[in-house]
Amino acid sequence: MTNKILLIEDRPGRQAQFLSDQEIINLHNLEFVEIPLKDKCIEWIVYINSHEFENIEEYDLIIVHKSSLKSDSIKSLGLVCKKTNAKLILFSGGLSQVTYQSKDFQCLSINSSVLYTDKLIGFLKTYSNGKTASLLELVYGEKWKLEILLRCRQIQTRCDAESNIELKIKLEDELSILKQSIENEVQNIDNEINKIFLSL
Amino acid sequence: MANNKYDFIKELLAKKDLSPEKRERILDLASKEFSIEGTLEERIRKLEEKVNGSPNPIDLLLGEAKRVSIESFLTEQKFKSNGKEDVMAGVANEVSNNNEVKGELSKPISHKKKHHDPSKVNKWLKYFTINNTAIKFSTHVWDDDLYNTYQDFIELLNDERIKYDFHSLQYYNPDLYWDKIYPFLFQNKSTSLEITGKKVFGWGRYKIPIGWQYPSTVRDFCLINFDNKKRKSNAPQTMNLPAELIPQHVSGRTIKTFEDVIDLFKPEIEFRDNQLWVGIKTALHEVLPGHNINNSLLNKLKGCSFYTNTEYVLKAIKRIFRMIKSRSVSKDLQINCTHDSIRNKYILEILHLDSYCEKHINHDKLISNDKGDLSILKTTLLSLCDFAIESRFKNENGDNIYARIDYLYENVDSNQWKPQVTTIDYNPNGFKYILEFLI
Amino acid sequence: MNALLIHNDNLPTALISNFKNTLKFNIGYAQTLEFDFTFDKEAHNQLNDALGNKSFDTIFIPYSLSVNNYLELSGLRLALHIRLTNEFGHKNTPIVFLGHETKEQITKISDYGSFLFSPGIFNTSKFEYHHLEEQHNWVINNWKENSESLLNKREYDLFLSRTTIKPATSHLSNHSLVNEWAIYQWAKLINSEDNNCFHQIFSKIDTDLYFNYLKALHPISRQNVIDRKDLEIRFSGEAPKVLLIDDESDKGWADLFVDIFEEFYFYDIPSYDFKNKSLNELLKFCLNNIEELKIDLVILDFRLLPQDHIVNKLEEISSIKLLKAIKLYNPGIQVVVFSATDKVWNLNALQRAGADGFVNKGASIELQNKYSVKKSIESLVEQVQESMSLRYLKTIFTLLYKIKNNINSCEYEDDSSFHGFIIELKEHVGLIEELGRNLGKSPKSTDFMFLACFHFLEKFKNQYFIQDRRKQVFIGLERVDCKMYRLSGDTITKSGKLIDQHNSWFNAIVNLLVDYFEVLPTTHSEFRIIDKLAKLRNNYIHEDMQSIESENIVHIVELMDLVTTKMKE
Repeated sequence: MTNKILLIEDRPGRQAQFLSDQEIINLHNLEFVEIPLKDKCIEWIVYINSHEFENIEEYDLIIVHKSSLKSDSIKSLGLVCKKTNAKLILFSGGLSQVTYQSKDFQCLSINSSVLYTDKLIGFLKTYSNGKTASLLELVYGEKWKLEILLRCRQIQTRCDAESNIELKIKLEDELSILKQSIENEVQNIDNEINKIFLSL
Repeated sequence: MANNKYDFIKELLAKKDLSPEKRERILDLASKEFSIEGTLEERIRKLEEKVNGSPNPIDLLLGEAKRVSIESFLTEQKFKSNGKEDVMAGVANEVSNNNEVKGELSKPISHKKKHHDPSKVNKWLKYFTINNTAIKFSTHVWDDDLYNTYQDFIELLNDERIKYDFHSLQYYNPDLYWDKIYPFLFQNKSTSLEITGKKVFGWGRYKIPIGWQYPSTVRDFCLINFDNKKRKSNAPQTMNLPAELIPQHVSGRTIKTFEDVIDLFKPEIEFRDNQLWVGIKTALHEVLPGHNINNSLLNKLKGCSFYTNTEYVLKAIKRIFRMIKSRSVSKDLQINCTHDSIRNKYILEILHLDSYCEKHINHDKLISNDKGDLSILKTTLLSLCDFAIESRFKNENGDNIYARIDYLYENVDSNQWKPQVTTIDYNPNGFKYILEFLI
Repeated sequence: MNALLIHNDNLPTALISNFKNTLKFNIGYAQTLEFDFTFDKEAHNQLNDALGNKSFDTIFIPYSLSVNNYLELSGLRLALHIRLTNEFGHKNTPIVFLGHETKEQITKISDYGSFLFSPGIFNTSKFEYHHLEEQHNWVINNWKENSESLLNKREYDLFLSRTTIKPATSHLSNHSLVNEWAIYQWAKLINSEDNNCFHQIFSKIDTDLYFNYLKALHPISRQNVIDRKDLEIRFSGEAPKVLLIDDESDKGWADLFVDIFEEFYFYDIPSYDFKNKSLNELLKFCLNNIEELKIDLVILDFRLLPQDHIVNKLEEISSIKLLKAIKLYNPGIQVVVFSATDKVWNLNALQRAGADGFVNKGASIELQNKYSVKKSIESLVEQVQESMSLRYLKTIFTLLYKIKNNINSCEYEDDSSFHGFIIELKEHVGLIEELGRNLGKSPKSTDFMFLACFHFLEKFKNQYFIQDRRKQVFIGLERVDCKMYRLSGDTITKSGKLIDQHNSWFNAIVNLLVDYFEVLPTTHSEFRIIDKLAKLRNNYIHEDMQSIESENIVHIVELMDLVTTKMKE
């Protein structure tokens, strides 16, 4: 199954700022990624700002320039993603901190310079093949596994110190879910973490 | 409209939802009416009024009146009070001077008539997900321009309370209504018990001391930060709780904002993700730490999501575990949850392996209304799920039989409660508790 | 222990519950959807609630406060907020990070981890309360001599030197960032910060981490504030009209200029949709406004349209095209370019296009020491003052344009001598225009201009006045008698016909205006001016005068207009 991706960029100059000409061509040639241009792009933005979401529901990943949307449109888009289980990436030149939330649906907010990197095309390809575990792979590349390991360690620390049984069980469960996403690399979390840090 | 009294009585008696009690009453009334003076029409009219007429407030409180009548009566009350005041307050005003009613009101809820109908409770709880309802938005983030003011939201919420007749939930699962939903959503002032100090305001497992309408903290916040501010508004979910309302005893969580409070309410009415699994595992750890459990089966509980009074379900399960503990014959357990897609139910089975009931099938502790753990379980699980047990029992001759006893099942009114015994032709392999939840 | 623990329920429960003072830093989903949500604003507000009006000896923070993304390392960002924000009152308080990672490891995965190696930053991988208590006691009592645990000035400066905080890297938003920083500094230096218009910017700057970093690097003290007297701009005549053309005028520049140009008529175009307009639309719109509002001075931003950030040739930049268009319309309208750019090639291009001045916004963050904002403000005042002294140029060019029209509308026969005269006049006007463009740029430019205008008028004397054999002088094709006029006050009186006498320049012009072109009555204030101009020229030629005042340029060009108004053969 191929996951469909929609990338709405209303300032093509921005791509030129961060990507080479060849990278832009390669990006636009990706079959499963729709990047509406010019009037079509404006049309999409108008649809979203008018809360017309029928056409967007077929996409599994939506990447959109945050500043082109009204704030209530962002909220409504979030609700659509929650409903269709799609993921959302909001990018903007004004965002200084990566924020990621997965409460109701996965939503990543990043600076444009974090979107348009040499990791982008690889990420989109992997995502379309359904092999992406987390949107954080776009931001951190291979380091995303480090994120999981660090979080595992943090949860383990809490778990070891926790006396409340219910909470301890919850934490153990959370830990086991996390560990599933990094398969067998959990023999010794500290060692794995140190190995990755050394390679950086 | 019936042409004559005989047709009229026939129509009444033919009604499918007529309980045996009402049936007898109609016959009683009919015989009395026939014996009094008056034209046929007058007598028929009187009979209709008795059986079909608009309820009076006393009937309402006593749970006597029919549902349709309740709605139209409430609408009428609302109209009388210009639609602005709490209708039930209007009802309360009417009956407050009535001694008979006062007496009735002072009785604990458990003495009032209650019903078993999980589908109704399920329906009520699902209003928390139906789009475009205020009830849904009491637990979800608000869209921009959804409400101009806090009062707009509250009015819609109160309207829906009447529209969906939430008040009647107390006759199905009083705890769910009085201890969770009412204080979280609808209560807007201290109850008489709270005024007299017999009860402290707080809902749910952690006795959270703040709801949407009481105290007035959320309203006061919205007056300054939300009302009529449109895009520049700060939604009530972002409100920081005042120090005196921050619950301190929620383990592992620091409750800071009203959104955090809402996040505490949601698990009160719904098992989501692995919450049921966590609850059961915790209960196992607390009550049956030394027992053996098939973990791969237990893990099937992960992801079982459904609406219910989660606290009471876990309470019942803990009681079941205590019952299991008291039977030291075996320390092996199997807990499984399967999805019945045809009936749209989760079937939770707790099996105490190799532990059988050696009692007679008609033993008091098995079939009593008010004795023993099983009757307590029945009360705890009323209108939350259907409940049954399977095991090996003894029949009249003292022989072993395998049987199933249904304590809570479809189409039973608690007034007519009777455990249904059915023999089964398979060995349940122990003592099995079966809880069936609607999804 | 007088310490604050910052957490997000991601630390052991027992640890959190043992602390008397805690801050749960969490950004709820509802908050992220708020209209003005930014991480920094939320961080600022929550830290302010926890730290304001309180005093802690130590602050404990885990490296990460996110439950979804450990690598967000929001603990570092919060720590930087604490270090860089005066109003929290804890910029010198020791901070202890909680985490299993070493400082070196964190630095590898964070853009601003280097500050971890500055004084007053500690870390621990222990999560038991009693261990943190020990750490706290050590920090208070043993970290430095004299049990002074707070950072001193030297240590704080060392922290600043080891801290690097980058702004958003997009060029477009960087442009916006630079603008906001500039507005902030300008407002502070001219003491305009109480103005409600700046509330949004100040609110952002007070909460944004990058701006707090800039404020720490470049503090503005009370002594730097510019006296209002030094902002006064003098002008004569009617209040000047200034138009600000800047795609970010509504971000605060307009409000700043209204404050600075108190006595002026100040205009800007805040609701113009720069982002979605073409170059042609922009040019047309601006020129219409300049014409209708009769603008004297344009303050022009360098990059107006989105495409300006990515054009290849400087000449394609909208402000340069607009500048040329304004100068084509009326070279006398003063244009001062107001921009953050300091690239030499940009300045050259602007100068070639005819810019009358350039003011750097002074906000270039990289070159903060080179361009102080105070100097920029002083430069603006100076250049606007200069442009006020050249304000008359607008009138001159308006008149020259009118004069050209006057000449063009004059009827003539082709190839006649009058035709030749017309051509000559046109060429001379062109010369005067060229000289006009140089007015104010060299010391003698007004003198040259005046003489050229005088010479223009002398041509009329040479063309129109013919002496016959009897030495009587006639005017033009109609052979009107040339009279002798004397000036008394504003009135000229005849004293007979001009016969065999020198026809002075004054007399020639007066005859043309009164008797031939009939544009003036015999009593008019203009005659005094004509007389004055004649004397001025003579004095200048005979070196009794060193230079010509600019008001006389205006007078003489007005005279040229008068003479050409009803020109005929």
